Amino acid sequence: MPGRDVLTIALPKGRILNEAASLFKAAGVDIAPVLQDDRRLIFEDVAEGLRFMVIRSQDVPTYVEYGAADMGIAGKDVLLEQAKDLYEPLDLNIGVCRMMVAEPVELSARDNPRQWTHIRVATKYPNITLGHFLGKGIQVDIIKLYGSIELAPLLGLSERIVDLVQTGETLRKNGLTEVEHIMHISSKLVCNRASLKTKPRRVKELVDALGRSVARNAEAAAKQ
Amino acid sequence: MTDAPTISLPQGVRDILPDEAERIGAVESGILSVFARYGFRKVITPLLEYADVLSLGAGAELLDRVIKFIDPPTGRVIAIRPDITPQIARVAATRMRAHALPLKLCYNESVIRYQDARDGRKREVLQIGAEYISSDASPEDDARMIIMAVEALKAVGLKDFKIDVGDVGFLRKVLESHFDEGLRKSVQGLLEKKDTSGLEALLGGMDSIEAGDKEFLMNLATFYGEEEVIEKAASLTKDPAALASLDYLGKVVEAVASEGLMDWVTIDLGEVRGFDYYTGIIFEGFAPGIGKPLLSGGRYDSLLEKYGYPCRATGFAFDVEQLSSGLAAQARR
Repeated sequence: MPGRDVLTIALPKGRILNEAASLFKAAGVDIAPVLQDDRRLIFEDVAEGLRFMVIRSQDVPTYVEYGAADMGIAGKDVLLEQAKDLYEPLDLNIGVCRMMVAEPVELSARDNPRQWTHIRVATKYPNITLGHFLGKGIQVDIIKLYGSIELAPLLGLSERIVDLVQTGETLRKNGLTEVEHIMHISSKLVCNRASLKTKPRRVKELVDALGRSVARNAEAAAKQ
Repeated sequence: MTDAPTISLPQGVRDILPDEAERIGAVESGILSVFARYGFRKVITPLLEYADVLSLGAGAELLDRVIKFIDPPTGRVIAIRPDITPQIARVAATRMRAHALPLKLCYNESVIRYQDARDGRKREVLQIGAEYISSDASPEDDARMIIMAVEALKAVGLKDFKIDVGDVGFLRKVLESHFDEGLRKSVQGLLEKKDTSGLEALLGGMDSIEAGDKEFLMNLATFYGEEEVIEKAASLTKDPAALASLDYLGKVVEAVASEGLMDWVTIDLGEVRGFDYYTGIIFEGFAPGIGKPLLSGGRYDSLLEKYGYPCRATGFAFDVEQLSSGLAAQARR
């Protein structure tokens, strides 16, 4: 039956896509066509039996959970925020950053996070934020924003923010400083439960192939 | 604008109109006729239970999702059933002691579970299930339930599906012999996601575990696929309790294979869903393109004892609407 064993893989738009492409390339799958043309949303590698689609990173877990894609690549931040029931068989070690709490430098000079009891926080990640603070017995007013989180403390919308940080440059430019590390974040290979159960061999092959790419990357990084 | 009252439904429940109701009816009668062929007889249990009675037998994960209210005349807390199996256990223990074992019971009812409002998840789940209650457990009993599930799915016309078989008894023994309770929870969480990278990171730093055992434990998340994973797992461990479990699972697989049904069966030794509830062989049914299981079940040897009747038991239930949509998806392909 043609197409029967095709694996559909959801890739996130944006900066992770290039890193993901080089992992696939190292695993012998060239997905250059999706990189070259950003209006092309579906690309099929017939020889490998793989179909790729490029969608917003926040949509990847949904496509995979419902089985519209068998597998996908999603940041741990997105996965934790959405808490879908997915397998995460491989840490791809790309898109590495950290989730943290930040506040204005002048506030941090006289602030002690251990004495927080009720704070106001702006974030793109209300569920992660709520879980983090409630776990410590701190009440939190969450202001959900969709971008430019660093602006919130500058304009008095909230005292603090919870956001992803890669280098910390954006924070510094906006007079903010990190006061609490919440967790390490990287991108994961995710898999729909039914796909792993009904196509175990295909799934395992791809996980192993990408696992070897990740290991080679780690070795190369260690040598530098 | 008028202020007409909104005629709506609570989130997570729905009406089923004649066309779909007929399709569901056909699925139900197909399954029930297979159950009947194996000698399973239907019981009808009530929608309501006392919450404390229900909580004797319902799994912890489900108890958090029970809809409860106070019964005005008595002041006791009443629960709307979130699962039929504890009810069957109660019925067997309190009403059917005079019936000879094994008891073969089946049901066709709705359960109600609180769900997060997100994603239009269902609160009401229409189930058809079968429970086999006996004085002893045997691999043949476990296999019979799996065989019955395969035959029921074939009877309703589903062509492409897999019954994925695991064993929480095996996992429990492995986890108990290597980890303390706190760590067990972490490992269980990682296994639930098949997070091999996370397992490697966690185990890598533990000096208390020998290298050979480490390799075995790291592989727990990869022991899925065809039946050869059982041999692979057995070759990597010397733990007698784990080997005994694998041997039992091997016999279950053998019994299913003797019916020529292995094309419909996969194995997953790292599956932890239902870990707190089940005691041995577990299984779930999947169809391509349908993200959620069509059926799930397994062995729960400690449940009936909680209702005062020390028996062994195994059973499973179909999610009827999920199965019906699997059939509809198959028809569209």
